[in-house]
Amino acid sequence: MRYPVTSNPLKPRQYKSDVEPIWCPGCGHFAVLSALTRAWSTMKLDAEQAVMISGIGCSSRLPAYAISYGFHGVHGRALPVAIGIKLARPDLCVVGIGGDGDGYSIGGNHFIHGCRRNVDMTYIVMDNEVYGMTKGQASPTSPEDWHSKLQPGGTWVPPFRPISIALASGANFVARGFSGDPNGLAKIIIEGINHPGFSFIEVLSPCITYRPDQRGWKGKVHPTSLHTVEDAVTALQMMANDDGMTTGIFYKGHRTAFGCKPDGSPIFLKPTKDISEIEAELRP
Amino acid sequence: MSFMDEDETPKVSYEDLLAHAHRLETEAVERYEELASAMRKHHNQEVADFFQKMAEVEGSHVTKMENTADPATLPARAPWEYDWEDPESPEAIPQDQISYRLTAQGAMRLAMAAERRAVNFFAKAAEYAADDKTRAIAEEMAQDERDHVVMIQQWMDRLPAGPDERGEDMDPPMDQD
Repeated sequence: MRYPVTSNPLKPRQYKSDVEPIWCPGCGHFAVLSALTRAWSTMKLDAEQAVMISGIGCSSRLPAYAISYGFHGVHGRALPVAIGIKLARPDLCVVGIGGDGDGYSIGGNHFIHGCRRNVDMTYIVMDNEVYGMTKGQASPTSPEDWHSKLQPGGTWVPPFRPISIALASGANFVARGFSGDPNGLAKIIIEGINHPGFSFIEVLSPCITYRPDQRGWKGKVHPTSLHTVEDAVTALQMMANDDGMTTGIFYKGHRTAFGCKPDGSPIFLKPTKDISEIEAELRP
Repeated sequence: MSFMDEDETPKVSYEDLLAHAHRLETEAVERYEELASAMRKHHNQEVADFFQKMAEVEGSHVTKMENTADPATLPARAPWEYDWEDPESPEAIPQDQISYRLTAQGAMRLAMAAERRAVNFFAKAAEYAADDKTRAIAEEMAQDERDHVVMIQQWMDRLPAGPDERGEDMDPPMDQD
């Protein structure tokens, strides 16, 4: 366990705030919130040790529904803020939260380089293959043939493959969960948080309002038959034929997290110079 | 908890039963509270009130469990270490069965199905109990859940017959041709 346990452990419900979620009845995100609170309760994590940073979208409203610290930022920009917080406060359990539109489209660049930089944090993307908050446009993970009013006949481009992108970009932990199995997802979240480096967890989380067809996901999602590997190339090869509906932990790497020593302890504990000294060095 | 030993000897212990019962009721309370909140936010007050009532009913079961045995004295289990047939506990209504257009009749039918799953769970636990004390507790719990089925049926009988979901939404979320 990498984060200190609290002497006053909370039940999962106690990690939830008084703010009632505005998610649609039946939304998968309710279960993701439950999974996260169950994970923290199991870890006996002090709520003041946790911080969630989100972008914009239905999934990005999650930080308001928990009593941990939270930052609800701008569209696609959760990761830069999360990385900054982690580097400034390496003692905190930092969790980035977002959706497929927020994380893979406008936030796509940050996603790639967040994996590459490998700061010790966890990034949870709730993927419902649609821009839900803005009423049903195709997102990067929407199927090529998914008809929408804005893109009749389909997107005509193959969907983004976040698991493969994360592996190729250097994420140190890559997994997929399902909102229909919140307890299994809680286990994945705990493993992701405890694994050093950038942990990426994609969560299949149906949008029952703008993608009612996703009610059928429950019958399609299945645990992976593959074991967790420690070599990224092997993991990439394994995921080449992935149907996008498998759950499990696919990859656990051994990269040293950015800003940490090989044993995981942070390097940048305190500033070594005063800001005025740094400014003086930069003056011509 | 696995209901059967390798040599097919029943082995549901008292501690296993109480731990599973407590977890089952706790998850039911959490789910009913979520559903009540969601329906309240989306102006389906009748269904919200029903789900809130169910949360209170299941909450009384949690209290009963905790009066029988302090959960802290039971073997600690992670959320994924319970022996359910489905990913979620039997009495939690799956989110994918929920719609903002759910009627009171539809909500009651979903709740009744959840209670019947709980009946089946405790009945099976009684069948495979390791001793008489465990069997008696499991049978009592199964009967409590049967009582809930009767209670919900009585509530349904007070309503006119109706569909599970409202027919037409005059302001649908998405207008697709």
